Amino acid sequence: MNEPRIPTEDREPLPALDRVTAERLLDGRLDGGCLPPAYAAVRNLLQAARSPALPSELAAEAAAVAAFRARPLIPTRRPRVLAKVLTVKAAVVAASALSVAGVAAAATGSLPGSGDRPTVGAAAAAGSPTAQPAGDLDRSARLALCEAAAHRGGSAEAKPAAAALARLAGGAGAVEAYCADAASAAKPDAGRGPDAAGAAKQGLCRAAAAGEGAQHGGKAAAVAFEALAQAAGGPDQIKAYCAGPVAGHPSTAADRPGPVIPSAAAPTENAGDDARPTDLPSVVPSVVPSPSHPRGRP
Amino acid sequence: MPAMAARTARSSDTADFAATVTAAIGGDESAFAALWRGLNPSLLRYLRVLVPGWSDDIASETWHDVVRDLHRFNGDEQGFRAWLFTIARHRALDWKRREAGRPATPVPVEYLTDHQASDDTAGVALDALSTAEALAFVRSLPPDQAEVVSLRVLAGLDVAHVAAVTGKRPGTVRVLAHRGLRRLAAMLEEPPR
Repeated sequence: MNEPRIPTEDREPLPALDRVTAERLLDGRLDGGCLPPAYAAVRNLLQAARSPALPSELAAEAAAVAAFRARPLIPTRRPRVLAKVLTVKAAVVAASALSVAGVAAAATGSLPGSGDRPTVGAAAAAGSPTAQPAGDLDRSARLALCEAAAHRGGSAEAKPAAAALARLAGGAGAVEAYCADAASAAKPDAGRGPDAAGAAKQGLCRAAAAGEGAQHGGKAAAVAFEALAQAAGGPDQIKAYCAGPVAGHPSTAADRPGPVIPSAAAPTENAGDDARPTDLPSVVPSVVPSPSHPRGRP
Repeated sequence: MPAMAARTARSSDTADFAATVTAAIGGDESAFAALWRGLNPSLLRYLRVLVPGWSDDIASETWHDVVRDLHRFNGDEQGFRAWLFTIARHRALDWKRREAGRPATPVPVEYLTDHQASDDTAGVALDALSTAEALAFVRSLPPDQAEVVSLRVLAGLDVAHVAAVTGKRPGTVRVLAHRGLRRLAAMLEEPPR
């Protein structure tokens, strides 16, 4: 680039640099020769600063790629769901240690008339040391479990999920209703129909009955009892409530025709999609994207 | 693909860049290598302005963080550059804090211009200004100006992204860069003898 030589004598103070020219200099988009000599020199300097890569600047490529190759494997969406299922399994194992088998369903299931407080039982159960893992069994976990059981069909891997579901639902025959319950609850507008309440009610009543027999049913049984009382309209209504048929659902849950589990898979997938944008800004406007530790500070 | 080419043909490279980042996130080594080749020279030069003598180490730390968090990145090329240089900047600042007790040993720009003076005139030297010499000039600016000019020129970031990286207002970024250019012009105009 042949620029006018810069005379070093008799220099007046620097000519003004207008904003547009300054920005174009900085952007490297100034190729015309209409710059004052002092700024033409600046342009040359900036061009030298952004010259093409030097060999020394690319020397560490092999090391960089090796570091990339050695990176820890990043869990993607599918493993995340599996991890959730594993959490559920662990929770189920712990929950099954409880003396009252049906309590897990009570602690996690939705109750008729309490659809707006779906986690009240689970939250209370989490206060009990033995029941603590059951607190993990929120709806998304239930859906994941249902999905796992459905997707794996009759394989060996499906057995733990199916067994866990059976325990949660209060019996293998109630699994379909249990999963349908979780699926419908996961839909934002889905009202809590009496159908979906069936499995939860059965589990609750069973749990309450078992708790009655024991001297102290424990906190978990108390949770079931309290939830049931809420659903029945009072503690003294529980017996009548449990003696009655499952509302709007005279037949047993197992008789319900049609597979319901596959429908549970869709909300789970959607939930996964919805979760992504919250941790990942899809656009980077004026703000820097979010590395987990962008500042590198402790 | 050199970073410079990517900067001058930014719009036409947008799709390519997105594809490259996606492939790298998916574990494609050659895609990551392409990213690295495109950006490491700029990164090293920026760090040579900020922390001369430690640019290689801090660039390496920066890429380590990039590899670790790449799967979380979602954005365009400017966003990726801004992310990369934000990491580098904080790594450099961390280093400066650790080294705060030690006396700094910057390379004085006079050293370089004295050598230039051996070639007849400053103009000859400026025509043949090496990258290292150019960086030394930028480094001789007041730190705020040096950093903003570096991010605009070396990192290839626009004003908004420089503002995001440095936590300064866009207007401040413009003023600092403008002052930096004037100061560079003054230095080049009257090279010290």
